[in-house]
Amino acid sequence: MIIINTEAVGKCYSVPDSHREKHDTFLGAVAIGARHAWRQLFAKEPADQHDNFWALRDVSFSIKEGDRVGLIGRNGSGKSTLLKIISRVTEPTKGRITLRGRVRSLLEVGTGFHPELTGRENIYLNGAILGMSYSDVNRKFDEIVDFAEIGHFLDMPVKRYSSGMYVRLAFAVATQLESEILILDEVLAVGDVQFQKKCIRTIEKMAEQGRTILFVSHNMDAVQQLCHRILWLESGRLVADSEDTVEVSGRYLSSTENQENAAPGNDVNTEKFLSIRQVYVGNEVGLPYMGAIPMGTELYLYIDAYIYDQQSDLNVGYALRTADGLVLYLSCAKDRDQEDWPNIEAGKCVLRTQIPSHFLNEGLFHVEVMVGLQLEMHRYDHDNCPVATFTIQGGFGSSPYWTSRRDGVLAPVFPWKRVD
Amino acid sequence: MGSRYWTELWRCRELLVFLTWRDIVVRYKQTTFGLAWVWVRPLMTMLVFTVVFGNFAKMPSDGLPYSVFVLIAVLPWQFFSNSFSGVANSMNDNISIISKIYFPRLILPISVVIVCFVDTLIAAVILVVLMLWFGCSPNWHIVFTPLFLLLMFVFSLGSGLLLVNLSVRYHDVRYIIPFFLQFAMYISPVGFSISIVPANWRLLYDMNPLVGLIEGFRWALGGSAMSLDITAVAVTCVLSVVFIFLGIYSFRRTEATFVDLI
Repeated sequence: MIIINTEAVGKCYSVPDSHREKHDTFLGAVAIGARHAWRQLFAKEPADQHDNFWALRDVSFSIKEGDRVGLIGRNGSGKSTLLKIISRVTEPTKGRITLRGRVRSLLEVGTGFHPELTGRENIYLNGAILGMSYSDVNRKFDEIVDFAEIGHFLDMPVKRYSSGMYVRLAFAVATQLESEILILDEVLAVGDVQFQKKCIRTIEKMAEQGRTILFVSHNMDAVQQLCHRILWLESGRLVADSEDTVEVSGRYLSSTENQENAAPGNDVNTEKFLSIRQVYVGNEVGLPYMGAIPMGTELYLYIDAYIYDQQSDLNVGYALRTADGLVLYLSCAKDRDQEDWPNIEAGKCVLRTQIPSHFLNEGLFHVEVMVGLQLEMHRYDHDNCPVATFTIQGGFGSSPYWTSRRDGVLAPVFPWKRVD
Repeated sequence: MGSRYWTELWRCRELLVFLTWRDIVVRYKQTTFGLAWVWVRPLMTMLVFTVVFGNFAKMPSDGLPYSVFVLIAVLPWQFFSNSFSGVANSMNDNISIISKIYFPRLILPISVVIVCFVDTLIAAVILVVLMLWFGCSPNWHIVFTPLFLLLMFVFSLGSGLLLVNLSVRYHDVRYIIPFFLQFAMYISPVGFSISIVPANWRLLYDMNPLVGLIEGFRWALGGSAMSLDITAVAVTCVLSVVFIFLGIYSFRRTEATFVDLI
C-alpha cells in the first residue's frame, strides 16, 4: 500500500531582495503599497515582483508501507523543505501530496521542551506535541526514563540539565512514538558516541518492526545500514530514486567531493589523455564482488582505462575515501621503483592493485580515480566517470575475543610477540 | 477538507490541555509571586480607578460601591486585553513548535484564551471577597453570567484571530497592539459608568462592542440597581459572531502559510 505519494511537488519561497525595501514591518508595507499604487497609476515600469526561489521543483515519488527510505542531498538541496511538506508543517506551492496513516516527524528532538518544566513534565508535554496520548505516555513512562538515563534528575527543571541529558531525554520520548510513518532528520547527530550507537540500534529495531521510515542523514554508512532505497535531492530536484543504495551513495559521495574540491587550478583537463571505462572491486581473477565483503577477503581494485595519448609520465591512481568523505590514502601506479611500474601505453589498459585483507574496518568505502602527469595527481573529473563503492562487513579477526565491530576506520590484524 | 480539520482539532484536544497547562504552570514557576499576580493587576487597576474617578472626580457608580463597580468591569477588560494580544501573537510566540510539528494551528489561540479564562476565574475570587465585604448581593440576573462569559470568550478569540494573519506578516503589529488596547480602554466604560455619556452620543457609544460586554457583566452581577443596555449587548453579540466566523475563516485560509512567513 502506498502511504506517501507526491506528484510534481514544488515549493517556492519569495526572497526579499536586499536592494528592495524591507517588507516585514507594517509601515514598510504601507509605504511600499503606496509606491506600488503610484507606479500602477503613473509609472511606465511594471510593478516589481518578489524574487522567487524554488526550494523544490517537480518532485514525484511514492513510498510504500514498510519502505525504509534514505533521503540524501547537500545542505540547501531541499531536504528539509521536503520533510516539512511530508510532515505537513508547510504546504507545497505546486503539485500534490497524499498521505495515508499517521505521520510523525522528528525534525528536531525535543520540540516544545520548556526549560522551566521538570523532566517529568516535559515528557508529557513533548509526548502530547508529538501526538501521543496521555495514557500512551503513562504506559511508556518508565521505558522513557530508563532509556534517557536521567534517574533522579527526573523532577528537576530541564534548564539545569546538561546538554547530554537534555538530548537523551528528548530522544527517549521520540523513540516511543508509534506511527505508521516515521521521519527522522539528523537526529543521530546528538549525544556522545555511546548514546548515538544506542539511537542507531533503536532505529534499526523500529526498522525491523516493519515501520515505514524516512531517514535523512549525511552519514552514508548509517543510510546504508538502515535503508534499502535512496532518494537523492540536488538543488530541489530529485536526481536519483533507486534501490541500489551502494551505487547511489557512491555517486553521491563522488559528487560531493567534486563540489568540495572544485578549487581553481585543479582543472587540468585529464580527459584528453585517457578515459576511464570501468572501476570495480573484485577477486584475483577479475570477478567483481557483489554485496558486502568480509574483512578477511583479499580485495583487488581494477581500473579499466583507454589511453588516447601516450605520455611517458602519465600516472594513474586512486584515493580511497570513507563514507564521511575522509581520504584514507592515495595510491598510484608509479609509487614504487621505476622497474616495478606498470606499462601505461596507448590503447586498452587494465590496471590492478591490491587492498590487503584485514585492513579496512566495516563500513562503506569509495574509490576515486586519480590521473596525473609526473608529480601532480588530479581527480579524474568526467561526467560519466564510473565509480566504485564497496562495503566491508563481518569477517573479524580469527580470535574468539574479536566478535563485534571496533571503532576506527581501519581494523588491521598485527602480529604480537613477547620479546623479553 | 473542512470537516476533516475539525475532527483533527478534536483529536488534538489533549495537546490543547497540555499547552494550556504548560502556560499556566510555567508562569507560576517563573515568578516569585506566582498566582498572586493574577490578583495584583486587577486590584491595582481597580484602586487607581476608584481613587481617581470615584473619590476625586466623584463620578456616579449606579448605587454600587465604586470599587465593586470598577472591578466587575476590570476583570472582563483584562481578559479581553490579555487574550486579544495573546491570540494575535500566538503564532510568533510558538514558532519553534509550529515550524517542526504539524497540528491544527487553531489549538494555539484557543489555548491562549483558555489560559486567560482560568486567570479570570482565579481573579474573580477578589471580586467575591469584595462583594461580601461591602455586603452587595447580586439578584437573579446572576444566572446570566455564564452567557456573558461565553460572549467574552467568543469575542476575544474572534477579534484576536482577525489579527493573527497580520501579526505573522508584519512583526510590528506586536508593538501596535498595546497602543490600541490602551486607547480601547479609555473609550470603554471600565473606570466609569455609561450614565455619564451624553444621551445623544449614546447610540454611537454603544457601537463599541466592549460596552455591551462590560455593561452586561455589571447588569448580571451588580444587583437590582443596574439596568441593561440592550442595544450595546446586541451589538456585542452580533460583532462576536461576525468576528469569530471571519477570524476563523481568515485563520484557516492563511494557516498553511504561517510557517513560511514568520
